[in-house]
Amino acid sequence: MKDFFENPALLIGAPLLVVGLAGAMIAILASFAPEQRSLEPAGLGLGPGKAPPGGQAHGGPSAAEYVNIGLVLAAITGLEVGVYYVTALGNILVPVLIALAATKFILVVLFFMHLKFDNRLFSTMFTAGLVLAFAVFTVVLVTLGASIT
Amino acid sequence: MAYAAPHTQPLETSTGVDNRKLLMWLFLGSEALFFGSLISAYLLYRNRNLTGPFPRELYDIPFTSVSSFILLMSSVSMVLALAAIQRGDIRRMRIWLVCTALLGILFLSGQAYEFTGFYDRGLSLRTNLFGSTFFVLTGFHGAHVSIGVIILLSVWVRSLQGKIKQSDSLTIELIGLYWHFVDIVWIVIFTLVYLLTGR
Amino acid sequence: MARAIPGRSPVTMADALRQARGAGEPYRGIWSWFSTVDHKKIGIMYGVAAFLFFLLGGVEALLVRIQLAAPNQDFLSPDQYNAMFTMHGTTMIFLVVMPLGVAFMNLLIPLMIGARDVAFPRLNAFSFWVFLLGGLFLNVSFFTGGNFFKGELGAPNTGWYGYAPLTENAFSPGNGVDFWMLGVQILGIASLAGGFNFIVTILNLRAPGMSLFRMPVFIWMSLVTSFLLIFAMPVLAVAMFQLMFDRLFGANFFNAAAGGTPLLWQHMFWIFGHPEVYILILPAMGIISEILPTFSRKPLFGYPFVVFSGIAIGFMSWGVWAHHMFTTGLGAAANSAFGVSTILISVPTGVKIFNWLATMWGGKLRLTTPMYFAIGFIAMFTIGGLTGVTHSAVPSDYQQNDTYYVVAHFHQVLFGGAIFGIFGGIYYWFPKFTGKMLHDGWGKVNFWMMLIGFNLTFQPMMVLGILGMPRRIQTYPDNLGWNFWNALATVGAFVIAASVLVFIYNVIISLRNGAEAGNDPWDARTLEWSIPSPPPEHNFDEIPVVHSVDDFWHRKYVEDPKGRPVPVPAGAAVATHQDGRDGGHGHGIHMPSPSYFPLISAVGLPTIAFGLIYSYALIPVGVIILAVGLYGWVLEPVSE
Repeated sequence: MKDFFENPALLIGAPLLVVGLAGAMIAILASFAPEQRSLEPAGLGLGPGKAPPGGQAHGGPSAAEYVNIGLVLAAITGLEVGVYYVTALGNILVPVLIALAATKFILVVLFFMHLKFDNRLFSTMFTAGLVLAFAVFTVVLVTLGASIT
Repeated sequence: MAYAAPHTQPLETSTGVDNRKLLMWLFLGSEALFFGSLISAYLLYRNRNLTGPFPRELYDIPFTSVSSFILLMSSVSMVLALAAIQRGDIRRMRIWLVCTALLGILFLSGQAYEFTGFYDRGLSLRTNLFGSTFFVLTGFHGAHVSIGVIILLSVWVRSLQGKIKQSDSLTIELIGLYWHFVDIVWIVIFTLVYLLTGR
Repeated sequence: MARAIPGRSPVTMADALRQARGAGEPYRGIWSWFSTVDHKKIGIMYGVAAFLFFLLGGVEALLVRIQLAAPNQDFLSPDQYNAMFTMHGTTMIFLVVMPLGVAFMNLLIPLMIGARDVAFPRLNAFSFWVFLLGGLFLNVSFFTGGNFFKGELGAPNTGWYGYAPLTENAFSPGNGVDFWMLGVQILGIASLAGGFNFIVTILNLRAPGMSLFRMPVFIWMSLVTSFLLIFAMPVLAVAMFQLMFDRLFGANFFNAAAGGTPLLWQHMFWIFGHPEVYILILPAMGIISEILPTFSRKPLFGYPFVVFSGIAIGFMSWGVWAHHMFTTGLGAAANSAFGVSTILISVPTGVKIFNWLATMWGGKLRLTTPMYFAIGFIAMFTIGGLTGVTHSAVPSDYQQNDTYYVVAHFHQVLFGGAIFGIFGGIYYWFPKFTGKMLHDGWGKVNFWMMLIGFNLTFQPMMVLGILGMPRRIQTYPDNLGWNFWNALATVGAFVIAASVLVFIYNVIISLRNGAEAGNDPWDARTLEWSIPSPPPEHNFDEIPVVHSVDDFWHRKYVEDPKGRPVPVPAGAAVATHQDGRDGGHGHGIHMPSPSYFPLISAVGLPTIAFGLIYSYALIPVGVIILAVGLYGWVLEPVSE
């Protein structure tokens, strides 16, 4: 049985199996549920900019803005992969990649997680964890890294 | 500027923020330490493998880039689900939720495929430090994604049963926070674990 | 969140059922305790469970002391001895001092901030059940090593810090370490849940007018403790997971043969471990900061300094972990940096001690039992703190490392500090939660026996440490000059045990025949004393409105021109500072419904842990129990 975990594919496969079963269960359950009809006119896709005007009441980004941020994120990911294959970058590859990842990170946190618009208490709590983790583990990597190599 | 979703219950707390949302952010702050520990173990051991296979022999950067992209796009669809429910558009919310869950499952399938490939080429938890740190780190991330997928599908079912109303937009927002967090952890992993040690 | 929903009409079947059987009222009898979400009941259960573990850990300590009472003894075999000191340490830290602190937080946070319950009552219940089951799980290990009655103990025997590589399979075959790592992992989940809950409660459920700087100091210390919990426990969780993958699945995190380093364990463990030290002591410091002003009849001296030094301790506790590792070869630069930070952290602690002394200075002292314990705390903790400063000098620490001097030091802060503070808290708040006073005479007997026994036990250990006696040795030869001091320490340990028996006796007679406490037996300062003892289930008939620090005191007293307290004229104190936010006298106050789902979810965790040790078939069972519990929890129609 210990071999089960020796094959990591199964390690990740097991949760997938559970997800699949849950999905199947859900589908069966759902077939008994009465269909809720939306009052909105039919239409599948959410075209950017087609959001009803009421959707802007809360000061957060609109759906169109979310999509635009998503496009920026996708572009940065593309850039990361591109940069990765530019061998000429040499020593500055690491800082460039870290800067790109940080940009993505910050975009998601500020816009998708609303920290730009939300109560500062939330940013404080989250940043506390991030800064603490960063500070503590930098010290670990420096001191332990130096003492064992 | 306070971000307040429309049509939610008036808040009665001392700070004016919702209890559940504060709990979620505290949880995410705490999770930063959790993943920080795992990532630093990986980084500490990255050059100390005594035997192969080594990261640069196994990583398939184009493949992982695609799965990273998929997870990133799931964040976009998650946030569109939130925008939909805040407008009161339950129907579109449902579509975007399923979309998010499917993208999550696609990401997990990619991870399963990747893990299987690594295993076939001789890397297991026991092989070397790379195997131990890599599988435990990405495995815990995958577990987080799996839990997120289960939650998404559960909420989707509740909405099919008509139990999710516009006033429940906070629930979707909280699930979104968790989902985006899992995504930003992957942003960090993709750079620190794949791109920086893959060459 | 508990808010009044007057005249709520039944909407669903479940609502109707609940109204029919009078939900919100506590269930009668023993079953009400299994489903309760009332913070007071949960706090009492936390306290009682932790006290029972305290007795267990105490017996383990006595066995250790009997073994060491004289040279060349064979009362415990080396293996049994190792199991005893490991379980003593693990029990006292994770199952006694931490949960006793949490018990006080549970009991007091809602009452002191003027709330009806914690923010997430069911999460609170979950936290307790996980703690209890995790503690029992850990102790089950005693019976897994063969025949328990023949002294074959399966308990972990690698020390409470579980240093790798000793904990790896090669050096610790058997299940002991598995029980330890999984048990502590489960306990960590309980602590995390508690930490989140308390932070949200303190930040969000304060009564109107109670700004952060009008909160009692105990609440401040609970807040700092909770932050330390939520940030420190994940690090421990990862360390335990890494150990788990090493032991159960053959990973290489701490395997030097594969290039790994056992030092990673020490870093991870002490990054958790040093904040943990303050998790243990800060609640006791908060308790002391409530007791001293009450019995000095003066406000706490320098309230903002006490609060800010508590916050400073919280921050600085993240920058001192490597002082546990000076002898591991960190290098001169790292050793110096951590030595300096360790010296610095004594500054905010010193600030607090001077503030407590200044609180008593010039006060009208009433020397009741809680006050005895509070003063005992200051004296004993100061000795403990000062011996701690001696460790921060790296060359000196090289000599003290792994000697009994270290053992003496941390017992001086954890027993002389935390336990004295907690006993003071028990004597102080017992009347509030039982309605009966603890007998003061027996209380003082308890205090003096505990103080004398404590010093008899641990001051000789200081001497032993300086004489060079190492920690964790099962026995020692005759001619090293250690015999007298060891014998003395053993005598002291039994005096402590006797003092605990006096305490139990006192509790029993006081519950039977104790004097009635009334609302405010100590003429105290904080909100919990403004309501009946024991408090009604909804705590406050009307949510109080707060106008200052020690608001309840200012309702009772005004100051004369010389600044002396003068009682408010009769009749004027009542209902002057109330407003009618919620309908009076507890009618129509909607309290969270009882729920079994926290208990069900909690059962899933040890089931999974047993599965990891014995049979993987149990793992899905545990996962299903957990999932059923959590789904039931989320879908159950309650408003909290």
